[in-house]
Amino acid sequence: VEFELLYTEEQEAFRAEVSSWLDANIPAGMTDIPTSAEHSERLYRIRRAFGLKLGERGWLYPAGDKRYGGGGLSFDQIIVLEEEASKRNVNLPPYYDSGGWLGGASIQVWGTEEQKAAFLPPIYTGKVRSWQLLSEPTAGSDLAGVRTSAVRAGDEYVLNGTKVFIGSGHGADWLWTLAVTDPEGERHKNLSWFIFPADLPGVTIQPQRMWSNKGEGGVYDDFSHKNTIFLEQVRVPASCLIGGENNGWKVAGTHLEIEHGSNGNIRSNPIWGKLLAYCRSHHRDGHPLVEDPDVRLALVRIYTRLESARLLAQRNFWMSYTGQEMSYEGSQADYVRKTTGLWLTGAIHDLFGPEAITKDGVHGALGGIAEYQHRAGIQETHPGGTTDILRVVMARRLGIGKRAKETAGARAPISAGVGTSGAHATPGQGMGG
Amino acid sequence: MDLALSSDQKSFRESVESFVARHAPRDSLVALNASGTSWKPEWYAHYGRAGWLGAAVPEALGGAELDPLTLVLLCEELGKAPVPSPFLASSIVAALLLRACVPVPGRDAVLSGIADGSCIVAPALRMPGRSWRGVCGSPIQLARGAGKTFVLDGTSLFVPYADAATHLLVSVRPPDEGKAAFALLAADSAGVTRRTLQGLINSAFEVTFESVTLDGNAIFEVDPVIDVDGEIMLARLAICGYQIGGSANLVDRSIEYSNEREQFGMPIGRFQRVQDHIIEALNALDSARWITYHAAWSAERDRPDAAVRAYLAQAAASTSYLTAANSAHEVFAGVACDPASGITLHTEISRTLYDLLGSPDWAQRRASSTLDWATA
Repeated sequence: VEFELLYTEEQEAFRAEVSSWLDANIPAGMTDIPTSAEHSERLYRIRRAFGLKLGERGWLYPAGDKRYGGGGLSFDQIIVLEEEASKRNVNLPPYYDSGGWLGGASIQVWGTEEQKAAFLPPIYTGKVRSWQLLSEPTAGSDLAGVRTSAVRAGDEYVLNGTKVFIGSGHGADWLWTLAVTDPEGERHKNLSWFIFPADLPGVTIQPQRMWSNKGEGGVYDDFSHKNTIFLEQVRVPASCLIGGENNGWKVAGTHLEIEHGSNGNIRSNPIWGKLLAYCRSHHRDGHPLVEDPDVRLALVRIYTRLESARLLAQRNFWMSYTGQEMSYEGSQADYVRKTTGLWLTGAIHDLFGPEAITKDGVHGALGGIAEYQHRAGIQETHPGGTTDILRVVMARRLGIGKRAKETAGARAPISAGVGTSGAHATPGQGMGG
Repeated sequence: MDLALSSDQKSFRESVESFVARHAPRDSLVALNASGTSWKPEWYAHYGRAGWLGAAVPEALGGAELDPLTLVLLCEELGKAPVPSPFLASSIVAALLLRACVPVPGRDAVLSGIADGSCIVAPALRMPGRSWRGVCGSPIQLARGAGKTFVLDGTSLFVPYADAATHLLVSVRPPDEGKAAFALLAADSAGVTRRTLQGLINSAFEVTFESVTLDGNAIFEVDPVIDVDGEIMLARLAICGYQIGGSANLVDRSIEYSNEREQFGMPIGRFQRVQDHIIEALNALDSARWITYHAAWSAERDRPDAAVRAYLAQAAASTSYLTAANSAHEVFAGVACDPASGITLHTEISRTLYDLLGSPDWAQRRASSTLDWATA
């Protein structure tokens, strides 16, 4: 076992290239927290423009298949790129785009050659951004219970339905969704997966303000929002059906597996650095916070939880990119990440008192970031599978209750020659499914 | 032993419940919150007519001086909605702080004003960069002014409903004296600036004092023989009541939702994981309720452990409200984070009240330092 990352000369050379390019190309102020709706919109445009530049180099989706515009980078290169982007507080992609890391992955596994050639390059190069349309008013945890319908009409499907908690501010170019194509069909065998332009007639996007609004690239943004999307007689070309009719649940298994944390990452939770810096620089009763034994104990408790979450994500990153067989690990890492985020809301509140629940620029702990974390820590326990659902997935993967061990959803090979197992498995989504 | 409420207590509780149902239904509170308005003054008029504003004011000064359990029941019903208003800050916390001060005519006039609704007093008890050490634990140092006047310079943080206040009650330390005191001043005095603190904290303000001149009659000394934090135990119990009410509403709504919301072809309440969230919240609620009721009983009987009981209740109820709010978020999932659901009203107030008079940790430390467990 070796945790330390030992870099080869090739990696260091690549790091030098990445580092100088990022420094030269990341627009000033891009990662700022928006202070107005106009600022939010302007920063989004800047992020998209930067995304195009990343896309030209294959760094927007570095693990994406090079044949379709992805980077096709090796595991060694991806580590370096991730590290350098993370140092600069930049996510890849630098804006919310579930099309690439979720929808794109599904197309990679389930799409035909024609579909891959049509849909993946615009996503991987940043020309389009897309949103996933999964939750419905009556289908959240029970995703397989969606009611949006798709009825074949010649060379098209006609979609009708309502989707909630979608996307972010600033709109999307493409949408992708699950819809019922066989109303009489067996559960999990009655759905199909479509990707289509967001500007088709019959698509209505209505902003849906939430209690916590995360913006593009993971930055907190009070001026962002989710959306409710109404699909009314939306005519989608049949060529936009991915994976075949009534095979949508298997297609969804690919992105659900990833959304549940199986890709992992090697990033630290940025809240830790902010916490430590704040406790070093701020005083209470005339002394630096970090000198207070109670504060130090609280910090150690927080660090322990964050390190656990970080290492599980790192384990998954290694497993994923080296082609290890995965089972419960994705959901476990996501569960620990989410429950840690929720726990952290109370831990930080106890640490700083009311300063932790105001975003006031003068008095708010961590410059107001603690307040944002508090909201997000509560709200982010739900998207992409509630903590309850994640525990169900883990239990099924472990075969608890003497049932056959469920296998992970199919995922695309990541980087040259490196793949994952479990192709064409039934995805483990749902509490009672 | 008889743990049932009296018929008077029941009918009182029903009257509050009726007010809340008529004047503060959930939709109106959601709309109020969305508009950025913190409360409705017309509610306060009703509070005045019902005698609630004088809940902690002696009858001789025009108050109703409710018994501890009745006060808890009043706050419990208001907390269920939850109805936001300066009531807890002014009619309970500020009134009890004033009562802990050496009686002077100016003090009593303000107490009467609190009872009749003409005065809304916002307690200013925290200074930036100071830990909470009780209501007199971080006073602003007064300077001497001309003649018998004093000068107030400094900042108070997290002052509740300072925008609605007619008066501010500021924890101060007079010059050359170690005695704890409070300065009472008009909220619109020259040199006073109030600024809202945004965030999930509810109706909290930064109040700055720049060379504010105070007459000597505006300084109320705390009675030196009393422990102020113990003396205002009713304020803790009132806050507990509000927190219990909020917790109860969240548990009720979670049960209701778990029966209505169907996933996988059945009500989500059929799933043990969903049940677990609700049961944990209910356990926290019932624990907090009975610790609070017991503390109220102890206070009413003037039992020696009453103050300790109030600290324990404070810790339990603060934690209960957080647990209930978090559990509701688990049960409702994304729906709860749509402000239209009304759940986040509770989420915000549960956080705001969590350490209004010190954190649960602080309360338990106070209890532990008060208890004499070392002696057999």
